[in-house]
Amino acid sequence: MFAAGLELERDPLHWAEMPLALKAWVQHAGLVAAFGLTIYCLAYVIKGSFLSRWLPTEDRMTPSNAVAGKLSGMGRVIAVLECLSLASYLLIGGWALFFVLGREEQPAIRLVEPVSQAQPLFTSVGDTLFFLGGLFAIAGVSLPILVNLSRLRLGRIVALARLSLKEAFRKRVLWAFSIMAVIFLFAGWFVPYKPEDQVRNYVRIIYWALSPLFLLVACWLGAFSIPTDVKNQSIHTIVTKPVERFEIVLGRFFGYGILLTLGLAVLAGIGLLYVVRGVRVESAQESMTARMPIFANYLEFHPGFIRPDGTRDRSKQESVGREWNYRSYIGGPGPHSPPQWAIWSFDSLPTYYPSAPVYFEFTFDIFRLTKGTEDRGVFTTFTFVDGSKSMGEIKELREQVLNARTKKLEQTAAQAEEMRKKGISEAEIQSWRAEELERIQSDLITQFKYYDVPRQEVVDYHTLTLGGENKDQVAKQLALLFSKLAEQPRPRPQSGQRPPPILNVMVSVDPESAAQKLGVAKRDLYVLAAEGPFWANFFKGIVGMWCTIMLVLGIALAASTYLSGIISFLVTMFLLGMGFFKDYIQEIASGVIGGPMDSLVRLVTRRQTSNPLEASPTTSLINTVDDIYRVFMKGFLNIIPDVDRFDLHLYVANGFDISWMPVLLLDNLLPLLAYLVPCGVLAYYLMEFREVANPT
Amino acid sequence: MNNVVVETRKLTKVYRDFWGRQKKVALRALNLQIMRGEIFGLLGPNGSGKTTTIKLLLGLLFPTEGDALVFDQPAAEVKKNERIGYLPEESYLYRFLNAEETLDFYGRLFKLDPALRRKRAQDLIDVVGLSADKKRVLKEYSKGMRQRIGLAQALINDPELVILDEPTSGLDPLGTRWMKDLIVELRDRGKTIIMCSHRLEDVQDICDRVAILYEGELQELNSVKVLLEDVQRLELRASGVQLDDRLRRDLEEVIVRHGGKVEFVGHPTTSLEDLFLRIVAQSKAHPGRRYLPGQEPLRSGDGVGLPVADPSTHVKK
Repeated sequence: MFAAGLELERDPLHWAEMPLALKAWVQHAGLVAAFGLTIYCLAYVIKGSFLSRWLPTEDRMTPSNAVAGKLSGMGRVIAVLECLSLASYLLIGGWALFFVLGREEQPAIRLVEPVSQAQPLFTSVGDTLFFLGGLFAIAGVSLPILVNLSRLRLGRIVALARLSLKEAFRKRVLWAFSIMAVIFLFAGWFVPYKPEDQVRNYVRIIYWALSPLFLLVACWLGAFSIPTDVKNQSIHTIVTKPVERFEIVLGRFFGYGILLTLGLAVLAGIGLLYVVRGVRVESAQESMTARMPIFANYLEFHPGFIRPDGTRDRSKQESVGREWNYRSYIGGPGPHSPPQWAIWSFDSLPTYYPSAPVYFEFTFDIFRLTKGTEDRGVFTTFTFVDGSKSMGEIKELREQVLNARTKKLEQTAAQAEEMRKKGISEAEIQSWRAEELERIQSDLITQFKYYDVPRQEVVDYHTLTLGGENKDQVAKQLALLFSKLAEQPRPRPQSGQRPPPILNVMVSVDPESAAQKLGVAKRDLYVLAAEGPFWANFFKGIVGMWCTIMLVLGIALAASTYLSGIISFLVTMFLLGMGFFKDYIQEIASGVIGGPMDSLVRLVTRRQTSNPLEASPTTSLINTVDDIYRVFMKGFLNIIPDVDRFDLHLYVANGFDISWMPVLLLDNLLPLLAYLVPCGVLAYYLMEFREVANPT
Repeated sequence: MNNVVVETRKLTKVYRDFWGRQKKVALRALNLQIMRGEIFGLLGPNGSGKTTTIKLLLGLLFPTEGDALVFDQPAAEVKKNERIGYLPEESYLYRFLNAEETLDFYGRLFKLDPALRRKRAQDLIDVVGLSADKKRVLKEYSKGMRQRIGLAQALINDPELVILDEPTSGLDPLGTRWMKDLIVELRDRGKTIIMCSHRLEDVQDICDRVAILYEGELQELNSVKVLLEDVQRLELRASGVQLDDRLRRDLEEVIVRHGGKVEFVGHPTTSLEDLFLRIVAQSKAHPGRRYLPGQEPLRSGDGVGLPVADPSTHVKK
């Protein structure tokens, strides 16, 4: 059983986070670059001309220059950059030890992951030095490549790409794609589904079948092409032509890239036909669309989770013991328990009101403590209120609204009674009453800027529209509320605090369903801004898969510039496999409990991990060394590609639009580039330094 | 204009294993100068460093010490390759391409004008005698045919320097002669040729100068004529007279009178290659079985001139 909502554990990158992301990239890629540059410089000092063939003749690091310590031009610039980079890294260690030693506060260094735009770009001196060290190293490594870029010729790259294409065609690589025919023909036999899950399941089948197939082919092509050329010595006839060696890598990449792109486009097209044939109505309503949602900026809970120390954690509520703690669960009010609220906060409102109604959609998880009533869901109340109001003010406001509404309803009932006495027909009275109720609701919204939708039935595994059958009426009232909220002046945020949200959407479980738990996450509720065509979204999802394929191709090609075909293949598959568990691996490497020094001390002193080390200069030193270790480990762990981010099938399967700007460009294509550039640099140097005719 | 096309200065190559341990010294302090317009031969037994020298000149290997300069540029400089053509020992071309596609591909690497590229490819296919097979993929070619298309790709850029590693390897006598003729023709057109070969007669036939290597060290370097000239002996060739006892005695008398000693007087022999080529040419002119038991053998000077090798006569169909 699959959830209907969009279950994403992290937000896609946004423009505002780009500086932080770029900084993190420079730090992590720079660390690897510094490592390579240091090896290069050491090799230069030892070996002289061996590694200097890419330098202009006058700048060559010849043995005589090496011995005499003479460098000129680019060589001198590289040496200076290497010195600056090393100095920065040494300063990090020095700074950390000098300033932190003897202090209790921690830590000396913290790298900032691009998680919040509210964070400053540089959090500490160590952070800045780490950035500068990486920047200098990247500049040192990139300089020869940038200088030699002018030597690359598109014509030669195209010729090599054409060769790769012809090779793949004539060696019948395309036959591998015919495996998909088996999926198209027989998958339906083995995949049971509920009517509403039809599209969802078909999309998953297509993505899960296409992805491994293309990843294997990309890995195979990338890993074996250059080693085969070297083994067969066909590369001798190419590198003895006026061909830059990097052009061979680029030609191979583009050639195979085009082949895989074409193959993917064709199979995705056939896959789309497979998905859309004979779709059931229930399924089409559920997920054969491309919803363009406006999500809340954050989700908080009231009263929040009670930590062991008695304080409240507002970011989560209760855990019902599910292994995946993506959702928090709220329960209904009981005799001994106060009501619990899930509160979605919006910092801005959709810009299209009041010309268009505002539709809210939601998908919640139900955790049943009792069997409940058969075929009935959990009843909830949705409250929409000004985001600057406190919980106390909201309760007060709620009372006022209830009182006012009751009073107005009583007046309406009395008027209806009078109309009956006057002999007006019941139909006319009901019609008048409906209009009157709507007017009352509008008046209340205008007066109190408060709106609630009670008794909303939540059903498991379904995307529901707020208001159910009355969704158009609710959407109209919400548009009015939005316009009123937008009109009122915003209170100024207190210094150092984020501004209050413009709208809070509060969800609570009604007393009649108090025995059930409602699981909610940030993306479980959203404003439906618009809906796009499913087919376009399907292909956007394929772009994510394309990114993974290109990434695998790039890594395999980079590895194959030095390693043999089979080893390159295994290395790439290993990195890809690690990429699927990157978060978990990084969590281990980050050392939630302690680093190697901490562990060593605990081993020697036989101290438990739950027992914190007492504050002392020694502890401070231990923590600082562990921090430095973590920073460097984290940097090196970044060679593992984050392939999870390229998996967009959840968007397509559940009918959510994949936006071009934040999701495809910033969260997929730019990270792909961020991985491919270091791969390209690595491939450049490995190819340049490789003796293609050396039997060893 | 600098006449030195290739120069090596103390060129040394040491093969090492992954850990940097020395495995073999393939070349030791080689000093060479190869001049424009000559055919230069590299000779030596297996493992003497011939191919290593060529690979160092092409930038396929990097020198451990010393310098290799081609057209006054370091051997690793890519730009110099615009003026070089290279035929590897085995023609390791892409076997899924046909002859036309092969030459088109290599032509593209030289940024040749499309029209010129097509014309040159066609001309070279004609020159190497593969016109009838230009649409067949290379994996269907015989070794000799692959060697021919390999040579064509080496000449696609009309290079000034042609480096040939065992150019006659895999060729039959007809093909060998054709290849040798072509090399000489290239030299006559002002190109510089460097070749290495195990087949000493080939080198002797066409090379102007040779370097003899052994265990990576240069043992001899000079023109072929000078190296092969035996100044201790004398050779006299004559025609129009019959060799009989009287002539033999007269010749001996003259030689003895001048303080010499006659070692041999007799008819010169031709090379087996010449004989073979004559038979093939005759058979082509007059098809059918020629040999009959007891028949006089075809001798040197039996009236059939040395044919111009037609490579198309021995390609695999």
